[in-house]
Amino acid sequence: MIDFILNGKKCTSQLPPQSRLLDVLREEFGLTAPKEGCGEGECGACAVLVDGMLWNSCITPLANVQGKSVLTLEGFRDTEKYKLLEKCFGEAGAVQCGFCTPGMIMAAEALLRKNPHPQEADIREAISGNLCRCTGYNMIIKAIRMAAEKGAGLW
Amino acid sequence: MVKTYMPCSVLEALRLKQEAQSEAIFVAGGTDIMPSGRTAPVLIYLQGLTELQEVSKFDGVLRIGAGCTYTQLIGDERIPKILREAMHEIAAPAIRNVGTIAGNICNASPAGDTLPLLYAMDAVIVMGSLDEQGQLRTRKLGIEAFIQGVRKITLEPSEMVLAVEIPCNSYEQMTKLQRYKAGARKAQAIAKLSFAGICRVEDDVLQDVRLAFGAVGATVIRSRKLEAKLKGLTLTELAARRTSIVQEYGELLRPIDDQRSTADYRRQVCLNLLEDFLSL
Repeated sequence: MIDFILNGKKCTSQLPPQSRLLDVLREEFGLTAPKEGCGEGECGACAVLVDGMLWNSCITPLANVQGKSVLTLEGFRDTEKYKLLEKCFGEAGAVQCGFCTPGMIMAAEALLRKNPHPQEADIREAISGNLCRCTGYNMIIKAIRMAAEKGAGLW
Repeated sequence: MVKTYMPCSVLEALRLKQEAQSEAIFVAGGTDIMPSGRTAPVLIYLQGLTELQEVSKFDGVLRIGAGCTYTQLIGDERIPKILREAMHEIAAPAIRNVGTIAGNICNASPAGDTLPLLYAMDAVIVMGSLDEQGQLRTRKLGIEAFIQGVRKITLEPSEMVLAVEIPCNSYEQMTKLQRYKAGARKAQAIAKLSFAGICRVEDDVLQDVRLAFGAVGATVIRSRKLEAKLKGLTLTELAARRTSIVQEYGELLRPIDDQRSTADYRRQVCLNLLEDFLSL
């Protein structure tokens, strides 16, 4: 059985180690922020943070998170950082259908943790593995830039 | 019923592999195997093996552990800049955070993004297995011999890849290092074709040259025979022969039409890149 830390709490999965992390999160733990888009690591809708790094949970075998710390959007929803990202995504019009949004937020969080003052090129690279079929990306880039500017000291 | 193991050491991993032989496959980042749906009766997960995640530089050889991720290597200044740039163009951050260099090699795709440079740099694959006493035994093979064809590699059922070694003189003393990947877009693209060229010009003479082409054949294409013809030419001689050299390479490339590109495009762009590289 695989033990890991999920959104700050110790947990043990009853599913086999070769299971997709995405299925463990959604089916076993009821965390539905990570979504299945492509199922092959191309679209980023399933993105989560593992030990602070962005991973695609749809192509992560459960075995690979043994002993590690997994964060989904649910796990940092109550933080100031999330609230700011949410506000900026709303203000910039960065959300339409919303399917890509949790992955985009995780990608933004991964970026800002490493680089609190990103240039536009850094933002584009950070979300380069996340597809959005509605917004055309510009609003998402604007939202992340706004969050970085307004969030001085948060990250 | 699939059996899964998460060994704590290379020796333990090799004991498992020796027991299960071809029933078992190794999984590192999982970025190729998970989407493929491929599985096996025995899965051995390697991500916990820190022994495989080390980089060292000693005696003129850069040794990169099989389990080093692209993100780790991109941030390591001991890795040649041009190789870091190639890794930076692989997929996107979430893939680079888990995908490994040995995974790219063992997947043996003709379009593997690190491969043309590794061919041009004379990379050597270090493989490990257990001897009769259960001790680690290693052997080495140049990457050109290691990769035999599309998804075909030279690895015994009881062996695993431990590291990749690059001779430092294959990049440190070179005067021109160039690479290019043609993809449908910047991120998440599988190469339509790729090129790596490395050379050393001294006193207006081409002393050393290595040219490798990706995704225009079953494996990366590099011709020692044509390179030998180029070595020793003065820059004036090279300029005079450039057109015929490019033609000879044109006969060597074996591109195909597929969903990503056409044979004509692949050949032409490769030759354009070659011509540009040889404009010294």
